[in-house]
Amino acid sequence: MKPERHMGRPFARRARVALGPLFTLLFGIMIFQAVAAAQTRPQRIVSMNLCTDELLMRLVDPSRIASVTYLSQQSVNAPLGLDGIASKLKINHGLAEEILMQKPDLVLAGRFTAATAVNLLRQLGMHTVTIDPENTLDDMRANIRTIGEAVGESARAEQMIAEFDARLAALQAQIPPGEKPVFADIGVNNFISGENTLYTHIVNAGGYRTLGQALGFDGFRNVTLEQVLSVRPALISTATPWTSPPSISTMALRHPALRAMVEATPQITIPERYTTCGAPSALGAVELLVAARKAAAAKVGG
Amino acid sequence: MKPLIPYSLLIAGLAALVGGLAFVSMVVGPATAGTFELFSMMTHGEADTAWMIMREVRLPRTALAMLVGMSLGVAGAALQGLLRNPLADPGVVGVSPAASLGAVLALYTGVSVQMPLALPLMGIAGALLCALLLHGLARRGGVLTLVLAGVAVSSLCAALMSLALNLSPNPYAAAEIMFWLMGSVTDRSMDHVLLAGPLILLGWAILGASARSLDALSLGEEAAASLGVDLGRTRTLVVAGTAICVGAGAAVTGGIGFIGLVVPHLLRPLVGHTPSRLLLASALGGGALLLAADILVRLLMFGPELKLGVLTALVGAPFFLWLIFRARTELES
Repeated sequence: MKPERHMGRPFARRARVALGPLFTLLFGIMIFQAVAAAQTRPQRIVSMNLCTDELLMRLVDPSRIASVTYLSQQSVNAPLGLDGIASKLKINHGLAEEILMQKPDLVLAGRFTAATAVNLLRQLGMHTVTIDPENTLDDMRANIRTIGEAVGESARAEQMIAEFDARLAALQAQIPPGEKPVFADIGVNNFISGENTLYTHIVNAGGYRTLGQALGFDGFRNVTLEQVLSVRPALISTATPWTSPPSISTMALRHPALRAMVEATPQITIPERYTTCGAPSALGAVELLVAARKAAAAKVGG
Repeated sequence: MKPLIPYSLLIAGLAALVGGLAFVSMVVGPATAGTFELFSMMTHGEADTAWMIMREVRLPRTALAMLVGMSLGVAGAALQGLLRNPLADPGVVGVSPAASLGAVLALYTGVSVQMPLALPLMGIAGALLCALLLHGLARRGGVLTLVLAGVAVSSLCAALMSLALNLSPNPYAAAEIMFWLMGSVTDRSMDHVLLAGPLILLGWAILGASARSLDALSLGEEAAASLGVDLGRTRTLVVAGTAICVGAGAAVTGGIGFIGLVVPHLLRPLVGHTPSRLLLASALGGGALLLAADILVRLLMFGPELKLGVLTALVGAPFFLWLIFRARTELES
């Protein structure tokens, strides 16, 4: 009987004795993991691509950025409002040597940026993460997640996506009803954007169709003046800061055949930088386009 | 004609120049990264990174500039000797465009994304295919057939590359192709050196074997034949050697022009117009010139890096014009 009676107590005591350290251990592991996460989170991040530059500057504290591309310090990026950060950062020109000297623990690059340098860095054992150019807004969300995970800021990346979606939904709610009119992006560059490009998805999000969609093709294409004239656009994009030095694309706008159409159609200037990257900056373009739709509706109404 | 300086002295001088420039190329970094930054890294406890950059970034770059420059120089000298025409250049046999086409196809199809070394491998395949084609023609036809076939192959390859750019649905991929075509040795790895190096050496050996026949050829085809020179064999050696060394180089660096045209011109008077002597001298001269150009590319870096092929053409073409202008009396008499 005695042993039986005592059976429970030593067991309970043993359990209590065992549970104490177990809790301590569990608690310790949690702290350790949190510390380890902070430590394994990359602290010297290099970005070799204009678009990863933007995402990186929006996701992490500038103190963790070892360098961004020299492009991010050019004035075309002013519309992003990241100048304050970019101007204080070190820059790179996509050369392996520069980047090795900056001793990064993570290198972000685009699929098509300085491929030889990225291959060399990877071969030398550097942790590199490359993203594909975005063709849709979903690609953009996926890339933000990829970068967020790589830099150890997944929560911030999700927050960024949620803010983007909320802002986008709010803007789209303002688009007047009716079929999407055509937005002729002749002034943007030599290529006209058709289906399945990020540019087209951004334009669609702003309540317009692109000239390329109206002409019915996929990807980017060079379009003849004749084809441009075959579609009657509701809105025209004119020269942007990016194309302000003379380029063939803006010369085309001065063609006599186009002049009449250009003069008769409302115009808009979308800073090129709003449509180059799958990043929150795309909202800038959506905002301008939605405003143009509203202005057009007000004109018809009034 | 008596050379201006003794041959052995010229070769020693050129070799010293190549060695000196190779040393400078190992020491000088891109201006934007701090030209002499590596030394301060070495003395500030970051010697590991500094050595790694020397070994893995600058060494392959230097080795490739030297190997490719030497190939262009020696191939230019051999072709000018074979065709007895001062306008001959490794470009006329169409092998560089063929190598570039192979590389462009690797970029266009996206194979190079899956497997980075597919790019130089496909470039080499393009060069060798072109060499086989020209070899067949060189055996049967004469020198004129060879040159015209080379021009045709160049044009066809250029057209196919333009087609790839034309059809490229993605502006980023098109830009990548365009930049690759401009020619550069920046950020190549030791893999590239190991891939192209053996083929380049093989090409040199084949060209070297043609040296004696080239000397005899300088007297004219009939005189050479009477001296026992097998013209068909000489043609095959020169074309195959050029295709292999220049093609393998172009497969890893993209298009680099003018070295093969300019260097033999510069050095011909110094070797007393002897084709066999010009081969070695031009090889060293070509190596020195491309090393110097690649160093200049780094020092002139203010924004994006200037491409090596752009610089050689930019400096080479006006210089060549000046050379022709100065020598026109000599050429036309």
